[in-house]
Amino acid sequence: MAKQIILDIKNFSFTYASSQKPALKEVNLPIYTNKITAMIGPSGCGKSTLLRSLNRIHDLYPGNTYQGEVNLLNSKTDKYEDILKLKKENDLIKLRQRVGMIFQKPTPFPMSIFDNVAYGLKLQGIKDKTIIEEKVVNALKGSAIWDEAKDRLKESAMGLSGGQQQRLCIARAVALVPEILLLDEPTSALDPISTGAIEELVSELKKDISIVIVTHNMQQASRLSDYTAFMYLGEMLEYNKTDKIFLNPKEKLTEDYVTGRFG
Amino acid sequence: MLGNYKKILEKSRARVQELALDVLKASEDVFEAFKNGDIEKANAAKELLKDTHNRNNKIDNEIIKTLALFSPEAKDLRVVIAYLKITSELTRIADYIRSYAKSYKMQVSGEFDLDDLKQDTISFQQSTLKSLKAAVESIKVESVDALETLYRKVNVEESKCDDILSILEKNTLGQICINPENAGDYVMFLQSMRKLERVSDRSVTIVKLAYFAQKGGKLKL
Repeated sequence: MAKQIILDIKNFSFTYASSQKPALKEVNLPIYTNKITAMIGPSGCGKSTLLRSLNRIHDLYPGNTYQGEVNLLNSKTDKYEDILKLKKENDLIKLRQRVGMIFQKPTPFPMSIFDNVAYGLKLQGIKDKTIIEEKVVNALKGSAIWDEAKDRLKESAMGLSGGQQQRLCIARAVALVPEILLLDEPTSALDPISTGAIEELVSELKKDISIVIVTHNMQQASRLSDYTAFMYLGEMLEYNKTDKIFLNPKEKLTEDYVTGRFG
Repeated sequence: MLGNYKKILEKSRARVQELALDVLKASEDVFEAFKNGDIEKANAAKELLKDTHNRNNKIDNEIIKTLALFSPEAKDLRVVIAYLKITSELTRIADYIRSYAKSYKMQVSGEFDLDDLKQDTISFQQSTLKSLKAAVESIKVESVDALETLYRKVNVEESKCDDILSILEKNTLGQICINPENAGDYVMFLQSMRKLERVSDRSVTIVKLAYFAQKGGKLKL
């Protein structure tokens, strides 16, 4: 089966409200369906800025400017829609349901485990309790946290460990059946066991969801992703299949970065 | 262990085992060819091993990729390194077997008589084959006890090969004295036997590598 681009970033530039200079310059990057794309690069290179642009989360703060195109495939019409053209708040909320996001630190809501996952479903307008219950259970199972959570669904999510909280956040995002999941250093605050569980989960999720992950951990990028993008000073310096980036990078800077010579 | 890492490791293991089994089959064929004068078997052995170097490269590249992408540690690292080196040993063995198959054809088409050396040669081949079988088996064995047993077995067969080769050398020199006009052929025969003797040496190395993969410690080859 030919691989399909689900999100096509073209000549994309981004400037923060507080800055004169763009944080991202003319970035081009394809995100393939049901693949994991890793974004690597030294601190301040723009990885997280780019990731957060992909579901317009920057719009929560006014004054930022976008240029270029970020075309998201509409699977129903098979046509691309430029998400930078979305203006209405409602459209942006829908976009964030289609393009979910997981942050560095787990962000469970201060409510029960069940309600954490059900929250987004209720926001989507689902009122039938049986459907909600079914979707919550499926999301928790699909996020590999069901066994640990099934006997304490009514307990506060804040009582879970960091790794469990992160998997709960993934379940919360997965419940909305996103097309793309953006992960911003999802394991940097977790211990190795929890990291392993999240990585295993992410590699399972790619069967249904296209994934973009920002990570500072080279090993994580190499073992988890299908494609890797190396960013430097706001530019996309090199993008290729992960084995090419880690075995035979074209750019000297990429080689120096992946071998730990700088960054 | 990540699912895709497990898959890639299993794929490498399968390729190494497949190569090992083909090398073993080719050895059986070529020795049978010698025993029964069946030149077709010798040709079949050569055919089976003709792509060995490409297969070796494929395994090497996969292992390099595994090292680059998954940075294995501890036993995982030992196993990957063992596969890399075992493949190289198997490729060398395949070279010896191919070379032996070629020299066998020359012996068959030549006019000199090997009858007086045949029994020792067959004993030599049997020990070589037993050592190689132990080596091939060691690749899939994970129990340290079973590997220790295989190590003892392969060492015994390797010693036997050394001893029989000494006898063959002595007897071949005797034959040269009787038939000096065929000295060249006998020397070539001895050369092929010496090459074949390295099969058991390398079989010992393979078992050592398999043991290193499972038990750990330092490589002592």
